Amino acid sequence: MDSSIEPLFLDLAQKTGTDFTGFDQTSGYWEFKSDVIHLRSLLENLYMDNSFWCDFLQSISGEHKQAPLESIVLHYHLESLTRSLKIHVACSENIVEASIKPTFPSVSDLWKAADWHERESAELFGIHFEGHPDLRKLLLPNDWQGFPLRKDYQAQERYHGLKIKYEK
Amino acid sequence: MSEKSGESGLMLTTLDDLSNWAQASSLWPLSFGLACCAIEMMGSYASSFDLDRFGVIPRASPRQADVMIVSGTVTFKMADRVKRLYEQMAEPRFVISMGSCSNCGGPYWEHGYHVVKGVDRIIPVDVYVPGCPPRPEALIGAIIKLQEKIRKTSENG
Ligand code: SF4
Repeated sequence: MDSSIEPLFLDLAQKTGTDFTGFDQTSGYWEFKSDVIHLRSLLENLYMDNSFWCDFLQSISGEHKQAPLESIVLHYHLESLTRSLKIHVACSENIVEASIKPTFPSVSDLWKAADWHERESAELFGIHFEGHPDLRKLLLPNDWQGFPLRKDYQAQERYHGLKIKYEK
Repeated sequence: MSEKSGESGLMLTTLDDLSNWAQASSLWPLSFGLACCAIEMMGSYASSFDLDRFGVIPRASPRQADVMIVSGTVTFKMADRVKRLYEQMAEPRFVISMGSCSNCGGPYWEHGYHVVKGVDRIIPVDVYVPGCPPRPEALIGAIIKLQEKIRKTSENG
């Protein structure tokens, strides 16, 4: 860990209106927290700014929380191969109403890798990505009902006439 | 071959026996794999187990295939495709269901919302191979069982 970068992170957090929570010893990642409004400018800066140069998006993964408020949390794991930095950005958005999908900004124009990661999160968690060029389902069949990785998910009874539940 | 005359090099057989012999000795499977079981199936095709010696040569088109080896997890998304591929195969056609997943849903039987609980819900199966994954010997066993089955069938009932 090179702690000379820390003031730059603090500046960035202030500039973009996000929270910087320091270095996580166990995982080896620098930690950021953000809300959806400021997420895009934080990620843009991490990508564009020469001192961070996060050229590699490792993954976007999701999480459905039911307490204290029902929310979807997205975790962006970024890496700068040039600067040897690893950064984790957590971004949370509440689910106010079951019928409305929480909306996150798409970053597929910054990292090409985000395209499929976002499509996967979208179909499994029921998220809308603003600005994504092609938000079709990735793994599930096109006509699948529901979002399987939500905690209250109930599989449909039948799919194309086949029973989903196991029975003897 | 039921009889040899021994004199003029003539062989006598029934048409049934001849066609069964031809079918059983050239079981061309459709070349496709679905999950981890497919790795074991590829292992069976390769030199150490050498399915070629049974006349089992994978074909890249369902039109040329006689047997479909369903090797792995059949998801609901794949189920429509498996069914269509089966329908594209010319008769007589056979199906080997390889591994727990395609027999009954395997490890996904309880929580796998995406897995068909047995490929026999979409297409008829001739031989089931238990295991997760089955060893190549077990797949070879299934092919021998299928050959036995073919030898016993008769076009005339
Ligand atoms: S039966 Fe086991 S080895 Fe075969 S596809 Fe299923 S999980 Fe994989």
